[in-house]
Amino acid sequence: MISIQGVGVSPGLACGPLYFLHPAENVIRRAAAADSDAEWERFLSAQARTVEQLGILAEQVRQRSGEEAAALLEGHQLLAEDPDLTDGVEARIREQGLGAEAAVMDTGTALAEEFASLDDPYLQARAADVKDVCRRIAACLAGGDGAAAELPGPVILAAEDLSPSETVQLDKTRLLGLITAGGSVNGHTAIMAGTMGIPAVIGAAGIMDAGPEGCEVLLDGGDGVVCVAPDPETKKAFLEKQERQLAQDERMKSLRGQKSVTRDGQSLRICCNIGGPEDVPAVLENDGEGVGLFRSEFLYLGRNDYPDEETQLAAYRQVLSAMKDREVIIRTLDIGADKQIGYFGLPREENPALGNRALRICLARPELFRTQLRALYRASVYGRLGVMFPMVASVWEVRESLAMCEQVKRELRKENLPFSENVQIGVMVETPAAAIMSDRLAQLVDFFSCGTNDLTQYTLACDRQNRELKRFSDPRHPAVLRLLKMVADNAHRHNIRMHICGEMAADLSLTETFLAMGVDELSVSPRFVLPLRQKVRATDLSSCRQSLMEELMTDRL
Amino acid sequence: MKTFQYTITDPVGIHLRTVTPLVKKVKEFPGHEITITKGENTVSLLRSSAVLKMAVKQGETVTVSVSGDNEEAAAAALEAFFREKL
Repeated sequence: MISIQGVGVSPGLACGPLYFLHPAENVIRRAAAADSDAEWERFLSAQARTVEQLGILAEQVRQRSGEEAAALLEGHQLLAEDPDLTDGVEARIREQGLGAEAAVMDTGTALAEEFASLDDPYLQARAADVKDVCRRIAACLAGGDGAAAELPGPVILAAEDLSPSETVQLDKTRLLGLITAGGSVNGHTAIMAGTMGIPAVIGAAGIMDAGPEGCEVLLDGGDGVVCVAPDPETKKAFLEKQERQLAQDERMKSLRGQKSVTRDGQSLRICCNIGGPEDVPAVLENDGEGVGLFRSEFLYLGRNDYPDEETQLAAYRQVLSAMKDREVIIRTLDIGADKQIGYFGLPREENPALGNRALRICLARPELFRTQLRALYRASVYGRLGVMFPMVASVWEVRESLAMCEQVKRELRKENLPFSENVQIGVMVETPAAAIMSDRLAQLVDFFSCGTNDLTQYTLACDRQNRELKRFSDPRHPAVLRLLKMVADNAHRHNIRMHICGEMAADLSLTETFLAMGVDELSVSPRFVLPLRQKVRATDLSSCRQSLMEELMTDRL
Repeated sequence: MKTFQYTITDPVGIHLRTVTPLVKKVKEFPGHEITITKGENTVSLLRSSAVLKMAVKQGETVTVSVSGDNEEAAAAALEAFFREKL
């Protein structure tokens, strides 16, 4: 038995036969070719196919994972048709008489070395991209359709490393788990595995030599432990754990349709965060009590121009209709900072997190805002709509936004377009300013929704993208908790609702604190709904309210 | 021939993600000879990996030259692109 400690990046337990995926360069290496014209033709056609496949893949990835991941594949597409690559291959085929596969791999190695020798760490890292692209073309030459590895049956796949494009192409129905020996720093592979719901461990050094193909392997995508050819005791313990997990899953299922209410009768709504209509089935499957955050950015991403009113209306309508009588809260456009869109033509900023983003852009470009609000109000007749504004810092911003809503309603009335008079309007509390002004803001709107990721970043002055600051940017910092308590108190004083929709909402160790604060709604990824409900139903607040409040006011770190 | 100079403001310089739309932009002007020069080094703006290997960093000035039937428009479009994206 060999046990390897890696990094668990996608939770879940898997047990099955080990299957190795070797990089293409190890399996295809053709000897010198007799007919160099024929080899050159083979290369050109494989190159064209590769470029085409990368384009298709980029589109798929854009829909599944967003602009960022798609841009990477488009970069690969460009490298695949790069003249330096093409010229290098031609010289190797015609002058050295190499076969097309060997010519591509050699050219790739040479180009990668050139990148690796540059004194810029960013450009050095592009060596891996060049190699990835050349492997792709070589695989295409070898008759593959571009990389999609054929899995022989339900297996646990192990690879030295796996590119994001390889990962998304794997057949999910034959894949029990994923292990890579390397750790991809950019984390794309990990994110893709998580999205696909496949247990995965990266950085499992030595996995490629850990046993013969087909031998049994146990994988825990939570704690990152991989066990090859387990002894009977280990396997027994693992299977028991798996069984407990299954039982737990079953228990979760039995919580569907139940209320989220504590033992002593305090209830809380548990809703879901979604990014588009395609996430709705997961909400319904996990019995989300509504949508607490619908990020509208997907409508604006991955296109060359602004989405028009009808396009937006169709998407909002689809979600509202599917959720029927459950509330759907749509956040108005939240771009800027880490989310950039080319056609917005926003100038580069020194400090984007503190820059022109979200509602600030909407208020500066009323036409953009108006189009979205018109689509939202027109969609309101298809369900229970809530609309909330992101990145508020001042009362006037909310007043101006509300005036815009009124203007849109007047227009729709004039045009005889129906809309609901019961649209709930909310403010996202993401800045300390909004929290501090929440007594005033509460008089203008129907609910607050606290975005704890940004609230933490702005309260503690810690860039959320900066890993070095992890120790300093604790979302459980008493300063953040005190702000949340203050927002909740101000909301309830003015009889409006207080929601939390950031990552903190899913933290089970904070659920009691939130209940004690009187939070009305938590909005989380669909998979967290049922565990949260279980936690709420097991809680008795009467015994712990006082101590929780005291804890809040002191430094518990 | 039309030329313009531009000083890179993007903190990471010219990198893979900006080269992609840049080369696409250049391809909108087929039949034109479009090059980028940094110091002594001049390469075609269609050669993405060669452009990358120039390792153009923030604060460095490059010269873009355009020759062809519609060089005025091409140079203007490219200059706008550099200002917006780089």
